[in-house]
Amino acid sequence: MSDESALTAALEAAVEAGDEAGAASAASRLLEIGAAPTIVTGALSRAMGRLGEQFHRLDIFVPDLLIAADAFEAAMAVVEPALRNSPRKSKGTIVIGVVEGDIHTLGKNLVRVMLAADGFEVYDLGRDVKVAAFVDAALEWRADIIAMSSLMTTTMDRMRDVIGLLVSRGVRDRVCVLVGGAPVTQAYADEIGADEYGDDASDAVAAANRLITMWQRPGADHS
Amino acid sequence: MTGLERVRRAIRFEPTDRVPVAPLLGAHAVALAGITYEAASADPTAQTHALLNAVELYRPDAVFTLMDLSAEPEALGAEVTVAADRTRIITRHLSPEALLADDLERVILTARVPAFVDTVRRLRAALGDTVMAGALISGPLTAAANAVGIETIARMLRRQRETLADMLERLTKACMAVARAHLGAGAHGIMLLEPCATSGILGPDDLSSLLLARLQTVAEHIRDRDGIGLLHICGDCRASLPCLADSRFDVLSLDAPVDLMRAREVVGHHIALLGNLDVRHLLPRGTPQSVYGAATLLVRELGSEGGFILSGGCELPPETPTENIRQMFEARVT
Repeated sequence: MSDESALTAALEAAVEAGDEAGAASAASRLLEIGAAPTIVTGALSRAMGRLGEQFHRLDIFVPDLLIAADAFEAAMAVVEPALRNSPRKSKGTIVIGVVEGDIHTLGKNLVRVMLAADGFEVYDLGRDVKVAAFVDAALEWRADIIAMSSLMTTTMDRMRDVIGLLVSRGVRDRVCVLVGGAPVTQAYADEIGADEYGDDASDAVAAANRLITMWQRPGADHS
Repeated sequence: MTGLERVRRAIRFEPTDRVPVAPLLGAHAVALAGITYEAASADPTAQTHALLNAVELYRPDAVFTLMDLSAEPEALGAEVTVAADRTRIITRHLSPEALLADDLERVILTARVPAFVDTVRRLRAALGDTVMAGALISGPLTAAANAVGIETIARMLRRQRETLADMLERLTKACMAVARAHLGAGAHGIMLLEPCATSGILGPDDLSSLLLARLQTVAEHIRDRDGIGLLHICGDCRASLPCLADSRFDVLSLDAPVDLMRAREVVGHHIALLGNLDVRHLLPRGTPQSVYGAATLLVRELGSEGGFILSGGCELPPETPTENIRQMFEARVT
């Protein structure tokens, strides 16, 4: 096995074990031996993809995914300076946040990492995000998708408000809306006019991919 | 047969004249009475007034205090703020070290927790033994998660397991202190809220090794004081049902993602079930006919052999139409 293959395997194993130092070290070593930054991001993407599938099957749980996400971010911090010189082609741009009145960031953070690992450019607006801030950010970054999370029934209707604001500003056709969070269901997503619903972090990535595929299909009109 | 008798018989799998109905009406009752959540969650007079109004309107077999998962964390020191919609939200978490203190059993009975205890006292005084008076309290894992943040707890599960076990042990004793206070005030039952024990967050192995023994301790503490113990888990907890069946609680309250008929097959007659009409869409936004249909199905499938209490999968949203709630009570007599 070549050094590059061994280090790539080590990087994937470190991420899957939630080993931040090991992931950062393997990423650093890969760059030192001359591996392209995309070799590192490819390994990270594969590891997070496998974890997402395991999480979806309930073979692993939030704590496992969370420490893996920490390891992913530790490795990304190493590779990001190199990526600036040879940027990846992004699948699409997503602004993500937890809706106004809600400070529960766990699900949103996992989705953010999974989306980044899958090749999306993700702008994280954080928690307790005002309705207008979602729309302003989406327009500023020319986002393909607004992804919103809520953990509480008392705050989930802010998602409806964001879609309402997109409509009232006349920009609903410029951006897709992906929603998720514990109280959110497919029925609720349909009711408020969201384009996709993510049942968990892995499902949210699949939903974002469906939206991007639809968005970028020939003849799609989103001026 | 009074509501309390009906509930007691149902949880012993004994025949009842009809299936007991006990939705968590707190937030709806408060909205119906024109009281803000902010006021009701701090003022026992206001909360009692709202809940008694709802009892008068719907005639449930059990009435529970308002669900407020910020009450115990606030008492423990977390910062709680009133949101724009007048609900209370936790805006600053504690450091984990704060939950390793020796006086949690005393501290947790401060801030707004006494207002909930006083609400129970007033409910019991007004209702006697006609309706089961129940208190909703945070379980040890959920109190920890809301006090220090769920991400902190999730990382501790993998990186500081011994410290987390110590924290949960202390919070178990603190939760028992809250339960004792409510039972002392006249509560017939305690519903321990453990939404953070849902399968996505806490797998069956973690539940079994880290939380189950502590849940059993709380359940026995309630039973030793002649209280009815109810355990509520939010979300999809199918993977953990075998473990939850051994929790020693009298009743397992399950959320809508769990098929109650399947759950009965898994848990057998170890524990009664409470639930689980969908509170996210069906009850607040469904038609009365659809609510009646779903409630009737549950009553028909689970009601014949006892061990079942019809309810929502969680607390009903404030905006739930009165007519939809009435349909739950219509279905019980079929």
